[in-house]
Amino acid sequence: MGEALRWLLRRCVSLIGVLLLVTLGTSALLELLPGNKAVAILGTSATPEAIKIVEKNLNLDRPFIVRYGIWTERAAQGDLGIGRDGELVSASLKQRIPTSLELMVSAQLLAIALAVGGAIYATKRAGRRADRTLSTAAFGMVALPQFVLGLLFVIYLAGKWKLFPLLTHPTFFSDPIGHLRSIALPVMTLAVPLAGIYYRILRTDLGATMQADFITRARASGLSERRILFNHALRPSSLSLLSVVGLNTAAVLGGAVIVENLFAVPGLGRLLLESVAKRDLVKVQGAVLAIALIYVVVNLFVDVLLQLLDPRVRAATSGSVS
Amino acid sequence: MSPQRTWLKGWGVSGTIAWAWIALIVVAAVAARHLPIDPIRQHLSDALAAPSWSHWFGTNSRGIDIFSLVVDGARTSMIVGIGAILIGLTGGATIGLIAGYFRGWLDRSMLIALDAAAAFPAFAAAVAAVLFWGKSVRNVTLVLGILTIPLFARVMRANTLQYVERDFVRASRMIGAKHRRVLLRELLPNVAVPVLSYSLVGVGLIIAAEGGLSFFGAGVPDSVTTWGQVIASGRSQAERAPHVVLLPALVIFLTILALNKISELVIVRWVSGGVPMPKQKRRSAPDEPSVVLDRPTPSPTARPITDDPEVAVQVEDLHVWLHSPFGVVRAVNGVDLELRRGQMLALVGESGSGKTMLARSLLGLVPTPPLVPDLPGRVLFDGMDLLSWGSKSLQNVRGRKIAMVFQDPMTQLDPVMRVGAQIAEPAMVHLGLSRTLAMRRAVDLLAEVGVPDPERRVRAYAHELSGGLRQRVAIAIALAAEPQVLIADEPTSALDVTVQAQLLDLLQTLRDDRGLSVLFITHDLGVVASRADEVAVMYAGRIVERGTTADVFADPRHPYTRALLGAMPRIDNRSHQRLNTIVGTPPVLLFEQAGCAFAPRCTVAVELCTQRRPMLQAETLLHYVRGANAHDSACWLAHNEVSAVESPVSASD
Ligand code: SF4
Repeated sequence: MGEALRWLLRRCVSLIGVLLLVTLGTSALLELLPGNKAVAILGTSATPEAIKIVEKNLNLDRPFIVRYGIWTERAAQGDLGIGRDGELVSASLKQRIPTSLELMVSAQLLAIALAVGGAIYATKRAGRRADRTLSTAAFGMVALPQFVLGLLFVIYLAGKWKLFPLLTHPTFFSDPIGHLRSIALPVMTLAVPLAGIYYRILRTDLGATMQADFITRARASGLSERRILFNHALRPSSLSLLSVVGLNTAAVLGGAVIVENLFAVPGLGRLLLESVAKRDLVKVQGAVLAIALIYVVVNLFVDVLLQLLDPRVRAATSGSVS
Repeated sequence: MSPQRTWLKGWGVSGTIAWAWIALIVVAAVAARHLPIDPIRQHLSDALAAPSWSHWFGTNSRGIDIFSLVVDGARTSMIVGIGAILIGLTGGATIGLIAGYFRGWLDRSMLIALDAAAAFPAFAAAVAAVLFWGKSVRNVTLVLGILTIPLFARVMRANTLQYVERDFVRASRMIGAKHRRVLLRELLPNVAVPVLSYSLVGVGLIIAAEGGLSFFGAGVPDSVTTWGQVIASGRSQAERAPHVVLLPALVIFLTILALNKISELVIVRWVSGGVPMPKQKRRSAPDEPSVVLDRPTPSPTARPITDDPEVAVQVEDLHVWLHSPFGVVRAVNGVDLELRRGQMLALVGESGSGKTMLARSLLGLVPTPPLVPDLPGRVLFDGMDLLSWGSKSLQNVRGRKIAMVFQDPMTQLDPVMRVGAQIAEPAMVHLGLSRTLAMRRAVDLLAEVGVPDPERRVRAYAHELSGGLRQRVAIAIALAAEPQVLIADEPTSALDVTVQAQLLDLLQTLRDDRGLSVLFITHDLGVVASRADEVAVMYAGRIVERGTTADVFADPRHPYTRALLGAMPRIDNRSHQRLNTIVGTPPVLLFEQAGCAFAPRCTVAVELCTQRRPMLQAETLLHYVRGANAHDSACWLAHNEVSAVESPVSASD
C-alpha cells in the first residue's frame, strides 16, 4: 500500500502544478488585457485619488508576479477576494458550482451511458446494418455544433412542442420532476456531441480488443459471446474512453457557457463570461480556479480508476516487481 | 480501369460526396464575389419569407436572401477555419514533435502544460479575448488558432512517440545523424498524414467555435458575414421562422460532416497503404465471382461417418479459404488427418503452410467475414461433424471437449484479469462449479501444470509471470473443463529451448496421465522427434507426408520433410551442423498450383512435378520389397512411377 500512497502523492503534486499553471496563465492573460485596470473599474471620470486607492487595494502598484504570489497565498487559505459588486468571490462560486457540477456530471454520465450501450450493441452486431447505422449516427452527433443543437432544442422541444420548460429552474428538493425537466435540455445539448465522441472511441477500442488473442482464447474456452464482451472485452477497452472523459471535464464546464446562456442556467461558465464583460478580474480568476480545481479532482479520480482497471498501469507506476 | 474510376472506388460513394461538397464550399468561398448572389439588398416587404424559388433559403428579418448570405459567409468561415488551423498546426506540431522526439524533462514539462491547457476554460477565454482585443477576422483567427495549439501538440506527440522507437529512426539516430535531419527526414513524413488528417477535423471544430463566438457577440465584426453569424443573428426569429436558422445550420453540419469523413478516409487509406479496404459484403449479394467460379470439388474418397473408438478427431477433406484484400487465400486444401485417442499428433510446417488456420477451423474459430463458407470438408468428433455446427452449439464443445492453447504466451491471457479467475471461468461455465470450488480447482490445476507456489500465483496477473509460466497458465485454462482433446498451436515457439522442453514434457505427462489426445502444431520438426506418436508434415495447405514419428524420421520420403530434417541442428553429428536451410519461400496461396507446390524449391524436381500434383498415398511396391516402413507421402519420387523411369541424381548424394 505504501507504493500506492506514494503514487497518489506524486499525482497530487503534479495536479497542484497544473492548478498553479492555470491560474498563473490566467493572471498573465488578464495582465495582457489592454487599458488601465483601475480606470476600467472606475470609469474614465474617476479622480486620480480614487484610482490610487483602487490600485492600492488591488495591489496594482506592485509587480505582476508579486500580485500573483499574494493571490495564491490568500487563495490557499480560501480567500478569493471580493468582486466588484462587493460580493465575496467564494460566496458566488459556492452558488454556481453545484449547478455546474450537476450539469457536467449528468451530461458526462448520460454521454457515457449512451456510448457504452451503443458500442456494446454495435459490437455484438459488428459489420451489420445496426453497427453501420450507429456509427453514422455518432458521426453526425460529432459534427453538430453545440450552439446549433441547443438552438434546435430551444426551437422545437421547448418552443414548438413545449416538452420542456425554458425559464423556470425549481430546485430538486422543491420539485424533483420539474427540476429534472428543467435541466434535461441543457444536459442533452452537452451530452449529444460527447456521446458521439465517446461512442467512436469505445467502438474502435472494442473492435480492436475483439480481435485480440485473448478473446479468441476465451472463445476457444467455449465462453458465450455475451460473457466475452462483458467479462473480457469491455474492461480493457474502456481505458482510453475513461481518460478522454477526464480530459473533457474542463471543456464541458467552460464550454457550457453556450448552453448556460441558451437555457439561462446560472452556472460557472456564465459567471465567467459575466465577470469578463464587467471586467471583474478577481471573479474571473476565481471562476477559472474553480473550473481547474474540478478538472484536477475529476482527473485524479479517473487516474485512480485507471489504476484499478488496468493492473499493468499499476505495475508501471508503482514500479512493483514480482 | 481508368485512373478516375480507381480513385473513385478508393474513396467510396460517401467519400466522393464529401469531396464534392467541400469543392462546392471552396468554389463559393473563392468566387462568391462573382456569383449572381446578393447578400446586401434588403427586400423589406419580403422579410422572413419561407424558402421559395426566388429565395432558396428564404429571407431573414431584414429581407436579405439567406442563400446569398450563406454563399458569401463561406469565404470568411473558411478563412477563419483554415487560418486558425494553420496557426495551431504549426505551433502544436512543432511542440509535439520536439517533446515526443527528445522526451525526458522536455516531454514531462510539456505534459503538465498540456494538462493545464486542458484544465483551462478555453472557449470562455476566446470570448473574453475577442471582446477585449476587438472584433475582427484577424483576432478571431488568432485567438482560435492559439487555443488549438495544445490539441495539435497532443496529437503530434502521440504520433511521434509511436515512431521514435521504430528501427529506422533509432538507426539514423545511432549513425549520428543530426537531430534536425532525423526530425525532418525520418519522423515528419511518417507523422504528417495522421496530423494533417486531424487538421481537417480541426477546420470543422473551428468553424463551429467561430459560430459559438458569434453567439456571444464575440465573433467577426457585423460588416463581415460568416455562417455562425448568420445563425446567431437569426436566433431571435428562430421560433417564428425556423428556416432562418435551420438551413444555414444544415450547411455547417454538412461541411463538418464532410471534413470528418474525408479525414477518416485519409487515415484508412494511409493505414492500408493506399489499397482500399475490401468492402465487407453488405447484403448477401451474389457478386463474389472469384469464389463462385472455382470451388474445390469434394474429394470422392469421403467415407461415411465411422465411429472408431480409437479416433478422437477425424479431419476429412478439410478446406479453409479466406477472403483477403488481394483475393481468396487457399489456406487449407483438402486435408485428411486422424488424431488417435490418447496420442500426440504433431502437425509440422513453415509459417504460411496453413497449419494455424487448420487448427482454428477445427473449433470454428475463423470468423465468417474472411472465411469462405460452405467448402467441402468434415471434422468428425464423437460421430458428429463439427463444421456443420453453428457457433452457439460449438460453445459446448470448445473448452469442454476440445480445448486450445495458442502461440503467444502474453497475448492469449486477459491482461486485466487475475489468472486464477481465468482458469476458474471455463470450469464455472461448463462444469457448473461455484466460484469457490472453481477457484480451488484453479489452484489444483496450476499445481498440476507445474506452476510453483500455486496458492499465490492464482492471484497474479499475466504480466507478472514469465513466458513459460504464462504458457502453463494457458494450459491450465485449457484443462479447466476436462477436455478430451488439446490443440496446441505452436505453444513453445516463443520460448527458449529449455522451457520448450519442459512444456513438451508437461504435454506428454498430460497425455499419459489424463489420456488426453494432443494435436501439437509446430514449425520445428526437432521438438517433436522424441515425443509425438505421429507426424504430419504440411506444405501449402496440404499434408505432404504422414506417418508414425519413428517411420518418418527413419525414412523421410518427401524432399520437404528431408529438408526440414536437414535444417535441424543435430547433436549426434557435429560435422553436419546447420545444413540445408530451405531456399526460397512457401508459395502465396492465392492461386491453384498445377503441379507439386514444392516444385519451385525442390532440389530434385523432375518435369512431371510441375504438371501434375502428386497425391498423398501409401507405399509403393518398391518400398515393401526393400523392406522399408509404410507411411504416406505426396511426392512423385516416392511413388515408383518416376523413380523407376528417370531417377534424378540428388546433389547431396
Ligand atoms: S513431387 Fe517433385 S517437386 Fe514435389 S517434392 Fe516430389 S520431387 Fe519435389
